[in-house]
Amino acid sequence: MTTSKPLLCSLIGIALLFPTLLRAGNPAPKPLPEPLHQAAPKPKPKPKPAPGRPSEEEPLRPVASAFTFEIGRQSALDTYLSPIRYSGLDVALGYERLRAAGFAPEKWLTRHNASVNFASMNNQSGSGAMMSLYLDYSFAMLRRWQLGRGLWLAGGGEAALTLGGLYNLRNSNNPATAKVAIDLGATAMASYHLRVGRLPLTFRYQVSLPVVGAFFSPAFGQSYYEMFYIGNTAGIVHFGAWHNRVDLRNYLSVDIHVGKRALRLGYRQLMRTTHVNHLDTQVLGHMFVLGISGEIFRSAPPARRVVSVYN
Amino acid sequence: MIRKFTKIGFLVSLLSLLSLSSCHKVEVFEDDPYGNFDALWTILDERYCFFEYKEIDWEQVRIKYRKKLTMNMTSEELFSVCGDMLMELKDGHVNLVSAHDTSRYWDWLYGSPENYQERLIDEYYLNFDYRYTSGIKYKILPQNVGYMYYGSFSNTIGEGNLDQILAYLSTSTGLIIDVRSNGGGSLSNVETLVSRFINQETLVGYISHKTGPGHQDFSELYPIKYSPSNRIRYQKPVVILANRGTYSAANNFVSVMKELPQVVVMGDITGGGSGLPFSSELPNGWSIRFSASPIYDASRQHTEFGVAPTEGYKMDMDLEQVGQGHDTILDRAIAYLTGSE
Repeated sequence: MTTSKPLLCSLIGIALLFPTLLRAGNPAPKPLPEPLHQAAPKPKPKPKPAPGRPSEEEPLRPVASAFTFEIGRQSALDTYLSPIRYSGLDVALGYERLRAAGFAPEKWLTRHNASVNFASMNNQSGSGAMMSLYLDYSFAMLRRWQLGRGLWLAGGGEAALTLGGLYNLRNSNNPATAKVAIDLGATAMASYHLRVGRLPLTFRYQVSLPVVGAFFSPAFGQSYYEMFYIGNTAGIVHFGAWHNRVDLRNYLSVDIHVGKRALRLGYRQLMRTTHVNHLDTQVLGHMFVLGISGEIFRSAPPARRVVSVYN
Repeated sequence: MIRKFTKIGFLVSLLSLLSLSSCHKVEVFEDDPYGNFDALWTILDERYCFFEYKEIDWEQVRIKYRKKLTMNMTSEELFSVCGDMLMELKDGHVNLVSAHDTSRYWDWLYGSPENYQERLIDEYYLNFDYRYTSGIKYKILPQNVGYMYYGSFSNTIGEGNLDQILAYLSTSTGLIIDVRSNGGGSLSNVETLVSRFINQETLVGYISHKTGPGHQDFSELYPIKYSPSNRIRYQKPVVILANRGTYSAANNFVSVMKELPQVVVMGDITGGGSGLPFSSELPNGWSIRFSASPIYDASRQHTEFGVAPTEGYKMDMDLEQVGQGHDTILDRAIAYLTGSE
């Protein structure tokens, strides 16, 4: 009774952290045989695949993951709560997962981003306090263009979900405002892998810009009591586009490879703005990023072709 | 190929710039006497909900009080000017809060008889011997009339506590709910209490909200309906006692209960306060609370200036009788419920 839950959690954790281990037919993990930008082996005569076994042409697509801790400052203005801008400490945990796509691994890659972001802020006079909490998840599919050895650009589409809110500690019937949004947008990446001396480095720049979506906002003077206690929820979901909602995320990072792991350092800028129902929200965060990244669970037999998102 | 991607990069940069430039400008006020005054005036100009109903010329108010500002005035002097300006709204839900003071409008209370003395009730009617739970004092009086005193709707009423109260009072011939000098609190407690006195879904009022900064920018009235509780409900006659100190959520409670057929409201006109208050703040950190969202009664009428007692039951306490241990408002309620009136 007392061991079933920890065991289940452990299995789920292993499944999340080591997805390739749990996939039937994959080879057992071995040390990385080559540097990360391993070139594809020269073509060999194609042996006919045995019935029921995957084709030898199917490349290994290692998962490039990054777990990050971010710290910085957030500035937030939400006129539903106050006309005064608040600013303060912002901390976040992030997870990023990149992988070459299965259907065209040389040309397409997928990216998952998840983060939780908390900020504790004060107004300029110090008399008021506000907190913000955001949960973000996005999935992107990007077309990749290899421009040279270790250098590639990518661009594509991204679907994003945002859940969160701002909470002003001293307001009466407007103490908080929820932030919920789903978006479809454009995203782009640039990646350059190089060596400085014997140290492999990967520089990356990522930008995301939601284009259309839907988001929640109360009316100008509408209370949450009216919306969710009385039940007047008409008109609280809005079509979102650049005329009323602009979010922008810029992310610059460098992975310093040390063995199979890499230390990630970076800078992330997040901008969330809405202007609807005569209400303005402007949240801006500047974050220093520190994390662990790399194709941590990568392994392949020597003869197998590898499509890495680092190359 | 490189040129192609240079173009893509340029396009992304352009989009980024476009997005930055599309941010809507929000008016920023300086942290000086004029900036703080203008911020206060503007917050109320855009968000206060009773300008039309009270026929207030807010622009004239600004002119009148802005003349009193000087750049060198102290914080306390500025607070005094701002507080005087807010008095023009005649609204108990409007408060300016600084570190040294809180402005408030209580004229409707000061200009009226109190009509309630807690000690008088406790000593001569309850004999200092009563039950107390969820902020409610209750007892069956010698005339077999149930009595509840609820002093603040900020005290959360537990459903289980209410079961106990009503079960205890169930043998009484009628019930007095005394909300005199109840300054309000949470509207959810109003529904909790009212749901014990209705037997079907009941329209109890309407709510509206501002849809924009204009003085006439309001949404359509949205009906507020309460459902009956599926727990113990009181079915016998009820008298509500009110005075001018019955304010805000308590005012709402009286307006709702007054519409029920088995209920009579006695005492004085309630204090009003029908605007759901919001908060905002000034550049210097002062907080401002104001009525933002009007709540109407079931007849679509404002109750901002109070709810009148049931016709024929408006009365003040006879102060000469107080010395003899009589609350004449409570006496009349007892007489009404025992049929001896």
